[in-house]
Amino acid sequence: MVTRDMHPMTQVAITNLNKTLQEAQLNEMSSLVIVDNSSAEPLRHQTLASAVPFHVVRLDRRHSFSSASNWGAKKLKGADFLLFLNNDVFLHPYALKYMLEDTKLFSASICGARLVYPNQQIQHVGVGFKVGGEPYHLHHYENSRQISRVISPLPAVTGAVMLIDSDLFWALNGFDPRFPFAYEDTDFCLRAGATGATIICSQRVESIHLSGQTRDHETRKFEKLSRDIFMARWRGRVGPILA
Amino acid sequence: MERQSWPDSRLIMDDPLLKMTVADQLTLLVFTRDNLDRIDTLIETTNWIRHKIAIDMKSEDGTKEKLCEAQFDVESIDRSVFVDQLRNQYLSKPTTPWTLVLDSDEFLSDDAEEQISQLIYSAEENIIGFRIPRHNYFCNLKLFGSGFYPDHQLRLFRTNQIFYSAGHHLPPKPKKESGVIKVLDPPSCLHIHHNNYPTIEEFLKRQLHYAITDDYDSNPETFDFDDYMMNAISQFSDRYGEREDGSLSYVIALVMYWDEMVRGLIHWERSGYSGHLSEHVPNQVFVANELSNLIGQSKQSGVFTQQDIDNLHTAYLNSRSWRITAPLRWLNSLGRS
Repeated sequence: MVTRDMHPMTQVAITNLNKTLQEAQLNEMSSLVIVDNSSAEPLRHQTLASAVPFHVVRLDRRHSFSSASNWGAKKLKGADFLLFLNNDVFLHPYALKYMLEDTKLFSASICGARLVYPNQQIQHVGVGFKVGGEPYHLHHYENSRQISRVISPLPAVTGAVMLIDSDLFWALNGFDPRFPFAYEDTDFCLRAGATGATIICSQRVESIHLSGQTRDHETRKFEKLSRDIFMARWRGRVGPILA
Repeated sequence: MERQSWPDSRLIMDDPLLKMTVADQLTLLVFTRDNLDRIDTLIETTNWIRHKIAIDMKSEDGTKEKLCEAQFDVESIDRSVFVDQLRNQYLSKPTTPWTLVLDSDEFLSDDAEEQISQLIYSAEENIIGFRIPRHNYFCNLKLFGSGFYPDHQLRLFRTNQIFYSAGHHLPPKPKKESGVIKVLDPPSCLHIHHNNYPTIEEFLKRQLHYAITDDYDSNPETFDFDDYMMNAISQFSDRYGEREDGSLSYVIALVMYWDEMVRGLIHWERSGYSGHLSEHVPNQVFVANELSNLIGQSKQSGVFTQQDIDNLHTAYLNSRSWRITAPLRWLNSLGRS
């Protein structure tokens, strides 16, 4: 979990994560790594409550999201699965249980989660591509009740909640740190897909994703840079998948 | 669950996680004395450094053993309160091109190795060291004002190219005047993290220790308690910054004010109790007494006479605070004219 300030929100996300780990009966075999990506006010062990043992990685320099995520993953080498989770995602208690079941059922190597805004509009049920290769969130802002829960292979899922076979993650050398902000998750999925990995999105329950909590003028600038890197790498190499 | 295997041949890009190694370029130099309760974080966050030297001042709490376990090359020396001067004796000990000096209550972040690598490998010949910003923690909170940030420290430098001056916490200097010290630009850069004072009590104890063990000129002619009083006022105004650090800044400002006064008293004692210290008691105390008396008298008589006002004015003009603030009043009068 990568964080930069917003510690109260992070605590809520951790509390939800604890619950979903418990429901998946994984709380005794999991470790949580929180990457404090140059917070103005450092994240402190004393102020965080987690039933799952956790470690804080403290970064002085403001790293890209991908680089910060890789820092965290390095602390978990040896784990079977890595779950990347944004600190503005409040997981459903059964989210992880179903993600693991679906991963097994579909022999998937990457599994995303069905995410909604607090008003139940779809935030994420998978990533598609427009003609030309621009990625976009399928069914974005549509009412969740009207969107199918059928699981089918996808070209990419969001990194806001991403369960990854750790061997695959390290075989691909993690997220590409050259992406300053955003698009690193889609890039990772496309690289994974190119090796034959199956990618799905678990649809049985909805978790809440507030989304965009850290967006500011600077991140928008970085997002544009990331988009340019992404399009330079993938334009013409991904076919359109439209909702 | 059966898991798919991913052979190395699937690598499709260079490993971005592999960094240049700085381990052979750098020696960590630490001075310790009974620091067992706070040495863990330092050990944990510097375990990537291959060459580590600890100069231990006869610790009795297991610090030395802990450092040995952590692969430090530990040298035991007699206890001394002048750690900065001691550092000079050991600055030539490292055999690596660069030296990093940390205190036992300091630590690094997880990306420090990467950042130090970049600094060292990109340093031009004439750069002999880096002034690194330091995050100071007071009552476990990071300070942003109160004169505690960015608190640049010259701690990473080419081996044996700098020296420390006598006294506590005086900045080290380059041995050659031509040597360039690069100042890192915060906030997004390498920092030293300093867990200064977990509690206010600890802060008071430490300041008193520094005040007592510091160097003072014993020549009575150089002693002027006014200097300490002015420093105290200056410390208070520099340290107090509610917007950055809230009430903590008030605590720091008060303690640093007190610290200057205490230093003044120690200096007075060490210069042979020269002069009458009571001359320096702020006369506003007496003015306040005078004022109180005058008001009392006026209340009794029911009249506040011109004589009362003149007496008060004379008392104030004779007060030390009036003399101390004379330069400011002079500057103000220039501004008005």
